[in-house]
Amino acid sequence: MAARLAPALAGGEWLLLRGPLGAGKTTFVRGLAAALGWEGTVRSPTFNLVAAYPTRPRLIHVDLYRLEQPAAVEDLGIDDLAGEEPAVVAVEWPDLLTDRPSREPVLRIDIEPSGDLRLITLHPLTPPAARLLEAVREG
Amino acid sequence: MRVLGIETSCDETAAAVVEDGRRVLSSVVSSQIDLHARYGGVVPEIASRRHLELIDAIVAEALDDAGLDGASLDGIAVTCRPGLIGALVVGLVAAKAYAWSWGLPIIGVHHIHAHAFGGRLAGDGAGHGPEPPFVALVVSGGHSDLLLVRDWLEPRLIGETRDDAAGEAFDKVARLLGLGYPGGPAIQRAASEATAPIAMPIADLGDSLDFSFSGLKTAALRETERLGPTETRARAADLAAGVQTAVVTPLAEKSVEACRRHGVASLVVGGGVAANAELRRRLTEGCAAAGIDLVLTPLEYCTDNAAMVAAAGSERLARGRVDDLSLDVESMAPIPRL
Repeated sequence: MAARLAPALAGGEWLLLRGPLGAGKTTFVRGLAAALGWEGTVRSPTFNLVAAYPTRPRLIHVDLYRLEQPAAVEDLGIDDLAGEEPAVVAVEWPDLLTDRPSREPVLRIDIEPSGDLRLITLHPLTPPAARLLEAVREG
Repeated sequence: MRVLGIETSCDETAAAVVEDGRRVLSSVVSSQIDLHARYGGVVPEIASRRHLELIDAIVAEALDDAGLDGASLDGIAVTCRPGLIGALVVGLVAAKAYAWSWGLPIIGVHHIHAHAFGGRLAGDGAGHGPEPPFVALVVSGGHSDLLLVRDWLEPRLIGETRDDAAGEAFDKVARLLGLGYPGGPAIQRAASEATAPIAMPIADLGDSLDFSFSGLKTAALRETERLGPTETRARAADLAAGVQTAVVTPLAEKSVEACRRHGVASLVVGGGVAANAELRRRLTEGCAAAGIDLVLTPLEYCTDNAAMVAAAGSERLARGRVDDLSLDVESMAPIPRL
């Protein structure tokens, strides 16, 4: 699924990964990083909250599991990590993330474990995210 | 040679002065754990602001404790990678300011390399730690790394976690069981009261020296669901004990195996999780049986501190590997694989 989504990502997209502990959110990001050309490991970024991968476009992996209060994006240093070019930002436990403007493509990815299977539902939350859905459908 | 070390990569603001890379003249650590416990973990913006408020006073205290001033130092070592960007920047900018105003060389230090130097601070106080080659196990909330150190300045990664760090597994399970933050000490405390530990799975990674703790938190979650809230509360200690065993067992066994596989006779253990009593017990047993010289980093230098940074910086300085004021921070800095 992540590999099908990857070619449609140009930078500037927000992927909000939801699902219970152990659903496979980090696994999804691992697949995404690999599809974007990253050959190293992708570990849980829980401790540092954010991790950046030098893929094209750049991938920023965020995990808000440890937060108990809403986090403004500015506070996470995402902008610093993204650098000059727009990056793909994948956020685990995104409920505490403050809302993104509707001009940005924001795709919610719900992962629901069902035994050994995973039910993945994609929800475009903003109009520009609709094309991501198309890309996955056609990919 | 006297080096001032500065450490601000996560939630400890620390400064220390170390002589000849081994003798700790002073070590001051101000933890933000109380501050962050309210939020269930580190909050980057709060961490940076707190570092900024504390750094000057902490450095002054470290110099004062050592009975020295800036003029009597030979260099300034600072953790510049990896860690929280905003937090690292505070330490680095402070270090640059001191280095510039006292006319001293600045030495950038890798946080995980620094933990491997914890062994030099061990022993009889005169710092007769192990010399390379040795294997270092660095386990904390953010890392679970096995390093092969043949040269102090060129450690090579021989094992690492593929997903969650050991301390992170403790944090997540502790939160699941309502035991509080930081999770390591909470799990250890609860586990000590276990009567019938609940066995937890250990990832089978074949011959690899890597670790995997992600499945453990899922298994613990399933167990709490199976038990239900009332029974989970009643058996929190048994669950904690099972989780502790499932974290400690691969750490201890693979550390010993790493020494055997690479023909190395010493093992250095550092990082916050190295304070775990059960891990220390298992390592002591395993190393004794395998004839390995076990060097446990003293407890005060297991969690983040600046003495290890000064020690690592001293080695670099002695070999002329210094940086200049263009030194920058890096949030991620993977250690090369062997």
